[in-house]
Amino acid sequence: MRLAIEVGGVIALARLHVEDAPAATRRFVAALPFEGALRQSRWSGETTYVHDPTLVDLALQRDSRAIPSERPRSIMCAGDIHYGPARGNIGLAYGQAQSRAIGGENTWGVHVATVERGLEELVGALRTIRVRGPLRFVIRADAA
Amino acid sequence: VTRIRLIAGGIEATAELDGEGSPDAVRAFAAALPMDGELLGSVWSGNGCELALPEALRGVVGGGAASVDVPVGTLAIAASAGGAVLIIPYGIVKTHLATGPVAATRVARFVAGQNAFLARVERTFDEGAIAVRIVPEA
Repeated sequence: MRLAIEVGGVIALARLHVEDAPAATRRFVAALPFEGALRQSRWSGETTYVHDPTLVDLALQRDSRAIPSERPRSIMCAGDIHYGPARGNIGLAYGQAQSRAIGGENTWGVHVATVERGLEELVGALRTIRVRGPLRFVIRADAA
Repeated sequence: VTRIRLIAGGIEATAELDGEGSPDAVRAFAAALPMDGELLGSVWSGNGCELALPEALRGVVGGGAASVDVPVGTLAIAASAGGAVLIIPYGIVKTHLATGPVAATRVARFVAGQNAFLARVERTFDEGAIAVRIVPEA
């Protein structure tokens, strides 16, 4: 299954990691289409994020310092779609990034999908957020 | 120079240079004035903004009473991936890079206009970067 991610007029396509993260991707897909405002992270480096309480799932991760059982990641790479079930976060990195809590403590999330088309354009759009402010974004299941 | 004036987004504030912890850092910072640049939100260090500093100032970071904690009301110099930055906290700041915590060296503290200035600086999180000018106070 693929996802379409639209940010600032750019559309990128990502492959959902259903086989390696069945429970987390099922929970993620249940929230689609998802709309929000992507902001620059203040603690996690070159990444943007959105926080939405409806994404919280403590069965997948009891708190953000706990290592999830499916595709756990703390370091985030550009093109990774990072889902933090404990806090209800989605992270989209555009450079060097690591999931961190207030104060700088390392935290974890699930790597639920990887961008396979439109990465360069997506990174360019995400990079503007620190300078220009939040951007609206949408993630939906790709019909193609 | 004992005081500096900061102007950003139409708001002015005054800070006093604080060389108690690291006279070398304060001297180097004062020598780099006036400076103009862009205040950007911190990406590793929390609720603060950063102004890129001349690379030569990286050499004074870590001297004196350096700490990862930079309290609201103070200004500090910290290492950055590209050199050094001036950190202006509007909330909790613990200076970090990708590799982990890094100590920052305090160089000044606000003495006038702090609240209005920091309120404007905090809005960078919602509105993006703003231009800033820092000059010695006449």
